[in-house]
Order: sequence, then C-alpha cells, then structure tokens
Amino acid sequence: MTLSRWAVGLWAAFALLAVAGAALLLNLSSLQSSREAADRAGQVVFLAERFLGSVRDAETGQRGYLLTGEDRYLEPYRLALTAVEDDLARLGSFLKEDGDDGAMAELDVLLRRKLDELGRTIELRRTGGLPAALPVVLSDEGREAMRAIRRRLADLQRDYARRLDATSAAAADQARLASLVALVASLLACASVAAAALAVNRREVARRQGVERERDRFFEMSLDLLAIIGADGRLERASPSWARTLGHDEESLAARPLTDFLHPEDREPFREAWRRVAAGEPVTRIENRCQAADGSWRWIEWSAAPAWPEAAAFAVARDTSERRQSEEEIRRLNSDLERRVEERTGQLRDVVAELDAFAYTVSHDLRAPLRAMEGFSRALIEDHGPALDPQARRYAERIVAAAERMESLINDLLAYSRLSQNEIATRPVSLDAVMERLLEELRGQGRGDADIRVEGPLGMVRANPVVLSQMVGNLVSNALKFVPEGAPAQVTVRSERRNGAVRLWVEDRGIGIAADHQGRIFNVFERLHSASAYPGTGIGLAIVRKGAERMGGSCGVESAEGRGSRFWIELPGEG
Amino acid sequence: MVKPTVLLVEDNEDDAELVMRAFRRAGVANPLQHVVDGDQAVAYLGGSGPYADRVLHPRPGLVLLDLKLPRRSGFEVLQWLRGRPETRRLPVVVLTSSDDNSDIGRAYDLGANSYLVKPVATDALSDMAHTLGLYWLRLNQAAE
Repeated sequence: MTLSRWAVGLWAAFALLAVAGAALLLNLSSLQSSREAADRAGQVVFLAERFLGSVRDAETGQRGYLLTGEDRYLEPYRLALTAVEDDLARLGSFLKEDGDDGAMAELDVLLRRKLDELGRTIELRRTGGLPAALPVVLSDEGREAMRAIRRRLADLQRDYARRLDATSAAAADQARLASLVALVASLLACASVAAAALAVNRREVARRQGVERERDRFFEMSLDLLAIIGADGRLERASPSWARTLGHDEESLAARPLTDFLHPEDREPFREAWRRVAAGEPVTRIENRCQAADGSWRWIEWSAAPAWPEAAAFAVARDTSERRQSEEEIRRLNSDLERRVEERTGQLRDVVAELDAFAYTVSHDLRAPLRAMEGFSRALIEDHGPALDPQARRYAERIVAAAERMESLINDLLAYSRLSQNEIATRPVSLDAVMERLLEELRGQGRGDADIRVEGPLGMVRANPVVLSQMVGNLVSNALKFVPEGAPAQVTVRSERRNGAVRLWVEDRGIGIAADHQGRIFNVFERLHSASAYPGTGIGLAIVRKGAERMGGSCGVESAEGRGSRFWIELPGEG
Repeated sequence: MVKPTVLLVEDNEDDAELVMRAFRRAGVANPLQHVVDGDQAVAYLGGSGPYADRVLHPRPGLVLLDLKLPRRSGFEVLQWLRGRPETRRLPVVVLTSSDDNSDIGRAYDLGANSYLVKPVATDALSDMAHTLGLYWLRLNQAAE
C-alpha cells in the first residue's frame, strides 16, 4: 500500500518536472527566434548605414575626378561600386526574410539612377573635360537621386529601429519568463528530490526499527546469556536470561563490574581473557564461576568478541553447571566402575590363583596314593607273581595300567597349571634342536621306527625350551597316535617364516578332524574319541594352546575328516 | 665290619615301605633307621632327645631325604646338616615325588648329592649307589 502511494508521488514529481522542462524548452526556443529577429533588425540598420556610406564614397570619388581629372581620384569610386552592390545584396537578403521586397526594389531603382548619373558624368569629364560634365552635375539629377536614397534609407532605418526595439522588448520578456520557468522547475526538482529522500529515509528508519525489534526479540528470548560489556567491565546491556540464570536483575548486574560476580579463583583468568579482548582478539570458551543471587556458584562458559568503539565487547555465555555436573557424575561413575571392575578383576585373579594353587596341590598330593597303588601292585606282581592265579595277576596288571594312566593325566594337569601359574622366561631356541631331542626321546621309548620326516632347517624362535619341547612333543605324539587302525603313521615337520614369526607345521595323514570339532579340540579335557580307541588325557592340545599364548604366539589346525591334519604353532622368530 | 646305617626321612608310610622293599630287592643289608618328620631327622642327626644313644641310633652313613615333610621341610634339614661340621660331607640323596625341576635345582644348590624319583625302583637305587661311589652300600651284585 505504502509502496504504491510512494510510486504515485514519485511519478507525479517526474511528470511535473517533465512539464516544466518542456515549458522551459518552448520558452527558450521563442526567445531564440526573438533574438534572431532583433539581430536581423540590427543588421538591417547597420547595413543601411554602410550602404549609404558606400554610395557617398562613390560620389566623393566622382567629385574628385571631376575636379582634377586625375584617375587616382577614381579609386574610391571603383571600390565603392563593388561594396555598394554587395551591401545591397546583403540588405536585400535580410529584407526579403522580413517580407520587405518592395523596399528592396525601390532602393535598387534609386541606386541604379544614382550610379548611372555618376557613371555618365565621369565619362563626360574624360571625353569632354569638366565643362562637358558640369551641366549634368548642375542639373541636380545626382543630388536628387542621392536625396531619394537617403530618404529611403532613413525610412528603412527608422522602421527597423522600431522593430529592433519591439523584438528586444519581447526577447527581454521571454527571457524573464524563461528564468521564471527555470526557477519553478528547479524548485520543483529540489522539492521532489527532498520528498524522495525523506520517503527513503523514513522507509530505512522503519526497516531498521524492524530489524532492531527482531534482534531485541531474539535478545529477549535467548536461553544463552547475551551481553554488551562496557569499557569499565560492567554489563551495559544484558539479556533477560541473565536474570533467569543468576537471579540478579539487570540493574544490580550493571551496578558492579562483572569480575565482582566471579569466583575469586576465576578472576585472574577472566582478566587475562579480558586483556585479550581489549587487544582486539576474540576469545572463546572461557569458563568461570559466577555467583547467583542465592549465593550459589554457577559455571558459565563464555565467548567474547571486541566491539570497539561502541562498547568493549559482545559476549555470549552459557550456564554449563548442569553439564559439568553430569560430566562429573559420569566421571565419578566411570571411576567407580573402573574401581569396581578392578576390584572384581582382583577377586577373580585371586580366585584363579587359588584354583591354580589348588590344582597344583591336588595333582601333587594325588600322586602319593597313586604311587603307592602302582608301587604295591608292581610289588605284588614281582614278589608274589607265581603265587597268584592268572585272574588275580591280570587284575593287578590292570591296577598298574590304570595308575600309569592317572599318572600321565596328573602330569599333564600339572604341566598345564604350571603354564598358567608361572612366569615363562623365553630365549632364542632352535626348532631343529628341539626336534632332534624329541626324535631321540622317541627312540628311547622304542618308537624310533616311526615315519617322521623333518624338512629342516626349521629356524629359530623366541620361546621357553621346556614348554616348547612339550608342545611340539604333544603335536608329534598326536600325529603318530591318530591314525586309522593298523595303518602306519606318516608325519612331516616343516616351518615357514611369516612376517617376523616362524610357523612350525606338524602334518599327518591320519584320521583328520571334522570342521565343527576343530574349534574345541584346544580346550582342556576335550576329547573326540574314547580312551580305548585313542588313549590320552585330553590336555595335550590345551597345553599347546596355552603355551603358544603365554609365549606371545598362536596355534591352529587345518584338517578334514579322513584326510589328515596339519597342526601349526606360530612363535616370534629369532634371527 | 659294621655296615653304615642308612637314615630314611620319609613321612609317607607307603613310600617308606617301597623304599625299604627296593633296598631289600637290591640286596642291601645295611641297617635302616626311619624317621617321619624334619624335626626327628634333625634330632637323630644331632644325637639329641630320644636319639642320644648312638648304639641304638648310630650315626648314619647315608641320608635318604624326602623334601615335603611335616614340621621342618627337607630343604631346611639339608641346610641344617650342611651347616654342621660333622655332617657337612654326609651323602644326602633327595627323594622327590616329581621331576620338579625347581625343587631338584634347589636341592643341589643346598648340597644334595643325588636324587631318586619316587617310587624308588631297584635299578634306580643301584644307579644312585654307583654314581655316589657308595662301595660300602654293598648292593647284591657287588657283594658276591
């Protein structure tokens, strides 16, 4: 609505200006034609005078000649002849423009008559001397012509002088009018410019007020604490959120420098930040405690930007007390949790250690009665064998065999529990030497004929030699043991380097392991076969795994049922 | 010539019985004295208390010492007797229930002369006697 009113006003101003401009233009053009007319009149008056002068010059030249008869006196006459013709032509052109053709024709007749008289007398003087010419002169014919010319020219001059006066007066009037119109037009222009400027300004003011109102609304609504801080460190303006957060009203907030509200410990850091702002540098995330009206401390996080010269700084702050409290709570919970986890871990560690010690003691103490069982059964067979009937003897032998099985079970358990319990010291160990000793041991047990192929050299690893021997021994003895009934065992031992580690492979062509069993064969007491089919304690592979883990290595198996197994141990390489 | 006495320090009756059987089977006829804990071993070796009478309880020429004993462990007994001038060179054979490497190592450190793994078998006993040069132990084959 305002816009269209605006536009109408603006267009009206334009139209008025255009009309004034047109009037001025019209006026100026008529002034110009008046000026031209006046100019022409002036020219006519001037040319009439000059024309008369030229005629007079011609007459003067004639008189001189008539009196002296000398040709040099004819010079003015001759010059005037051309000048007079020229003047008449120019005068004629002006008169014709003003429609005075009659005057022109009259003047022409009179001039011809005068020039004729002059020409004739000069001719007569030349042929007949002065006396011949004198009668013509005395006839007053020339004087008459001259008088007629003079009269006619005087009339003309009078007439044109009048015209000149009239047109000059008209031009003066028109010039005044033009000035007036110009004045009005410029006044009009000034007025419309002023009006437009005024309107523009009013709109700008309104717009600015609108923006300010919007800004104020945001200022009022803000949950964050917004403030303008003066050079004296006081809050010049603070958003209502200050009062909501701290409980101080705006007046009491503005009454004291901001530092007065801060925790004494936080004042120096704040001053430091303030110095940076004063140096023209924005600061972000300054945190300090502000005292609320109720005396409690609120954590406030700040960002401030310098705002010279209107104020010292613009500041945006946020109450982070609750966030800090939650963080504190989370930290406390975390540390509590950590402490509890540690406590539990400690308890578990104790329990595990206790269990290990228990296993060790049990295994150890179990051996004493076992030794007795085995020893006395053997003694029975050895000392009283002949006295026993075959049945009794076979029973005694079974007691010995059972005791031996239990012995190896306990030995394995002891080995396993020692692996968990003790620190295992490692050093460079030659796999070839380990294999050599193992083969020797097998020969000692009467199993030297077993088909074991070692693809040496196997290399060096970092390990504990006792544990490593036990692990390799277990793998080889498994490879020899798990073959189809009656089939010969074929074992290949080889090694490969893998990224700084050495992997020892023990491969057999035995019964193999189904894929779904492969995951659990490394667990303690995990057995896939009855003790009568394949005797064993079920701890051998558990020892292999535990040993590999304790020495920073790993182990695994690749196998398919009926297609043999390939067990591997990977340990850190050495050299 | 009176054969030197062998002192067996063993708390387990079964093990003691089996050791004695091994001695018998190996044909060793030396008198064998048997005590069942560390304190008794120390008392016997020192000739104190009930063992003051050296006729009934003669000074031994060999000690078979179990490591795990009530009251005073075999290590303590070993340490004690190695610290006394009259028993400093007495041959001591440690009886061990396992191939416990650390136990055996420690026993040697304290001055044990040899060790036997239980149950003590006849041939192991002979090997031990041979190793230690105990000619007087008179194993049956040497007696002939």
